[in-house]
Amino acid sequence: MKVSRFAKATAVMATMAACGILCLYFTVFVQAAGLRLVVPAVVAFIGAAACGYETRNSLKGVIAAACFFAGLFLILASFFGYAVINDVVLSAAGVFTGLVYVILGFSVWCGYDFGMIGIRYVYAFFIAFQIIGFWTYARLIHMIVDARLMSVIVFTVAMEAAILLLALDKSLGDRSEAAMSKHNLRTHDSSLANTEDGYILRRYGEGIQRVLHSDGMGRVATRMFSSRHGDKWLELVKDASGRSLLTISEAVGGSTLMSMDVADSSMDEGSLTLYGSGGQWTRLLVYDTVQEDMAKPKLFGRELGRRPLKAIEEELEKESSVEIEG
Amino acid sequence: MGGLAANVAGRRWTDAIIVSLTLLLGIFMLIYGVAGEIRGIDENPDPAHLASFVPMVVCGSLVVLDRHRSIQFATGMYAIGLGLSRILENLLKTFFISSNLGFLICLATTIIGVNMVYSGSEYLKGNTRTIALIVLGTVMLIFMSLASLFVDFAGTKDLYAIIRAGVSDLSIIGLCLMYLSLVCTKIVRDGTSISQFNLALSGYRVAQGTVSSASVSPESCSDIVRFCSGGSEFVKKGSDGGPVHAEYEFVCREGPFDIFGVLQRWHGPEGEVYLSLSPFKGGSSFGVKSFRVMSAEVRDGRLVIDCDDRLRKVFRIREADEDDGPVSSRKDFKRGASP
Repeated sequence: MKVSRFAKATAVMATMAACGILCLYFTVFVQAAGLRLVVPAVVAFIGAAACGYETRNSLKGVIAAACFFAGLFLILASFFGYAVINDVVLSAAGVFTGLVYVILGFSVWCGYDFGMIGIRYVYAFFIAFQIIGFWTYARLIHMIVDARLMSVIVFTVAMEAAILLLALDKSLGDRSEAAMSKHNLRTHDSSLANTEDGYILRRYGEGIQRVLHSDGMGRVATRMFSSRHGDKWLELVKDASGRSLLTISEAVGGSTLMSMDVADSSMDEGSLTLYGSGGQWTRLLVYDTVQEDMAKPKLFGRELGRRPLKAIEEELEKESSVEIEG
Repeated sequence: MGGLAANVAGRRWTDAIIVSLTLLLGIFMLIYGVAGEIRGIDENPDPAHLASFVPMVVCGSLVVLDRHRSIQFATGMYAIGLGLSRILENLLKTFFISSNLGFLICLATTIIGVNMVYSGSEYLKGNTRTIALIVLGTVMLIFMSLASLFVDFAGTKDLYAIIRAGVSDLSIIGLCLMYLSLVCTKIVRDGTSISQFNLALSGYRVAQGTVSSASVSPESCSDIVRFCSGGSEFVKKGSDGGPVHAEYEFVCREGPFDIFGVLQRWHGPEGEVYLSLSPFKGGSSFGVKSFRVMSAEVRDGRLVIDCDDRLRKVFRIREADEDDGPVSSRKDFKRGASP
């Protein structure tokens, strides 16, 4: 089920407003709380309004506002709501958590993009920590959990969960700096430098040699398989002037990763080497059939996460071509 | 290319080791699960306890049935099986156990189990989490099992009674040790983000011909100099149709990494010499950036390869005792000769 960005943002605003309403409820119905809890309630309502305002600008703005005001709310609620929470350790934990949220929200607001990743990690960690921590704390120290305290915990965790859900939206980029760096490296054209296991089928390798040694124009298009770096699309085109150009792309019609003028070639039992000018060369492994991917498990005659080899060969047959004119 | 055959031969050995390691692992998981189930039915027919062995049986069976003996799959399944069994065993106990210490142990073990399941699911996707965290989590689990053994049998001197009653904890310790040995294998270690970045960046750098503080052995150095001055012993035997007349492959070392270099002489004995570098031996290579070698000579105790466009590759000549091997105090010690 796909949850829209608007629905996620609405959930954040609703949970934040609910926290404000809870504070007002304590103010009205719990005498010990006093009027002080109006302060965090007001902050929660301002936060919900700020999130609503930021929806006009960007999702990142919504998260920054939500994070900032959620933190401010937690600090004030923990500070002024001592009469309801009635536990100095929990109050201190609330203030600390709120401070972290305020800093994270502020960092994103100021333009620090990777603060988004911090929000994801910190919220996921704090939600898990709060659930387990409160459980352990109630079990070992309080033994009986007060209903009012429980309602505070449930509302706060719900608000944090809504913010986390919003922060995990795919439009905000990869889920971590590591994933982002990996993506950058993978898409860099030099990634081919690490493709140690790239291969094509022998018949297309022979086709390449035929095109290169023919007098007329020609074209060979086939898939280059690589278990470790993903399959690529390989084309060798010889034009009317006799120039042969090898190109390797991400996919059919995708970005080109490399191109090389081919002047000569040699083929032995395990590889096809294409020579350019000035010492440039490209070597491809050649096999008779599509190879099994040993990194993937093969259960009940089928490689998990990969189509049957026969189906891959049939597809390859359809999409590949060897054309020689003259 | 001669490197391919050596590469394939090397792979056969590593494949054989991986096959036996993963098969052993699957069988061990199966035995642990089935034996635990039988023992549980006999002695402790608690549903949570009985259910805790099911993931080990299922995951162990899948590992044994995997015909590719994929080490990543085996490690992932192992982590998932072990983690799930810990969760099933301990999660319910956290609600019902009366002792506070027991509650904390069960809670900690459940969290470690969740961490293991997460690690396992990442393994299945080909990503490895930071090894230090995995090792820490597993050591914690070993510690928990040891603590549980200690709590149950403190004061008991009958070793047989300890082994018989604590067989479950002892098996967990054994399984954890096996898991630790698996996560330390190269395949799993190379799956971490940092390793993947390192691999990609070093491959890119080497393919661009950027080497600094690289060293070659004295033998390779003299071969390179002779090749560049037209040595006839490097001429390729039998024509394969390409322009390469002579070829020489050498290994240079930069820090802990080996870099594989290829010198080629194109278009006959008087042709131009090209140098290319690669982070691996054999395999496929794309658009290899070769450097036209103008001269190669030893200057000031270093091998200097002058290329066109005033590019220069300088290699330190490694002393014989810099290579790993038998340790000797003699400077003129040579590999293979008795010190």
